[in-house]
Amino acid sequence: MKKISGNALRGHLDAMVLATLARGEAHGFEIMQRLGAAGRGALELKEGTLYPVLYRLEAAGMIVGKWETGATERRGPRRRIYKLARNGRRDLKRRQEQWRQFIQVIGGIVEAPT
Amino acid sequence: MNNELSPELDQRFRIHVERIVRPVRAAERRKDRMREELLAHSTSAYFEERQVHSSDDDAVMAVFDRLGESAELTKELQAGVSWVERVLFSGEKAPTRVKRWVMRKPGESVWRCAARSTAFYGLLFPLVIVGAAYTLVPVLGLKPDGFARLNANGSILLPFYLISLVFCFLGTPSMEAVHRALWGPVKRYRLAIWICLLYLLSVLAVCFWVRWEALDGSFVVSPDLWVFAGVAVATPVILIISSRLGYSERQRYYRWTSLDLAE
Repeated sequence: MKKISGNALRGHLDAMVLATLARGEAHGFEIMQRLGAAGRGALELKEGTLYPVLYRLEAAGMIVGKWETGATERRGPRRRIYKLARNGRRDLKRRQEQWRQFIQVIGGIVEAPT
Repeated sequence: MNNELSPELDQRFRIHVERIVRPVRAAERRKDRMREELLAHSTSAYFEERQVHSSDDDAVMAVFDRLGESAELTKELQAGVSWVERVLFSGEKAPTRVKRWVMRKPGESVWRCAARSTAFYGLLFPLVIVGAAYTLVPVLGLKPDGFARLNANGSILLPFYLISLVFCFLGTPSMEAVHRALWGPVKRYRLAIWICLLYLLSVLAVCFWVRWEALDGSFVVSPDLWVFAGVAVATPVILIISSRLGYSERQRYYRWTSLDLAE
């Protein structure tokens, strides 16, 4: 499968992160793993670019982040766990509708028989 | 899985993360969060890459590649910071140097650190007070003799100065001891209470002594006692809050900002 690179993904990253978090709370690395698995290896995304997206979504009230508590067995640097906020759920629904419409309209044009 | 890196690898990842985050013009709290998250991500990615690559070096390079180009990432992180914050923290370099100088260095004794920060504030306070005398007093229309009277017999300014220094000197070790007692691996609540009481008693003792000196030994119950009562309540509260919020944050901050990026 041909790789889909960062530039093509740029405009969709917010929606992709929201959709990933709709499956349950996760920290940054786990979000990346979920995206990788869902993209079946076709997504070519620099992982650091995820964090500006997370900060933007959190500032907009779409997601809520909290530091992992010390109760886990894991050692090493602290991780921040993100979950979808009510605003984010609403926004995701809106984006999904927009996406379906986009595919329907643009797909109809691009895939029209020549 | 053991998610702990060797100190050498931890240092390499920290330096890489710091190269990305240090140029971002933002509040230290925000930058601290970026550092922690990028380091946690790099650590997890490293353990994943280590299963594929035979050497540590290859795995580390793969992690750097996965994170993306540093300058590009700095730009993206910067774009998420509001312009107000950007302006406010655009001149962060000078305060950073000051903070780093006042903070406790790795391996340094707590008393030495307390002495250094006391010396620093000891020099800073008179400058602030003299600066205020020459700027605020005329601006606010106060009579110059009023300000001079404040300083007569060292009644207000000198005691204030001494109290500040005592607060400063005892603050660092007390904060560290309270932090260890309350948030260390073994909780020692009684010890924390004793430290707070001792700190409070020493501060109150200085307050009373200063008051006694100021009134030439004729100590009387005066409205000033309410100030002491306020100090009595506020001191332990401030000590506990600052040891919780400030101590670990300052330690982390020092660890990051003291990294030599030329390595």
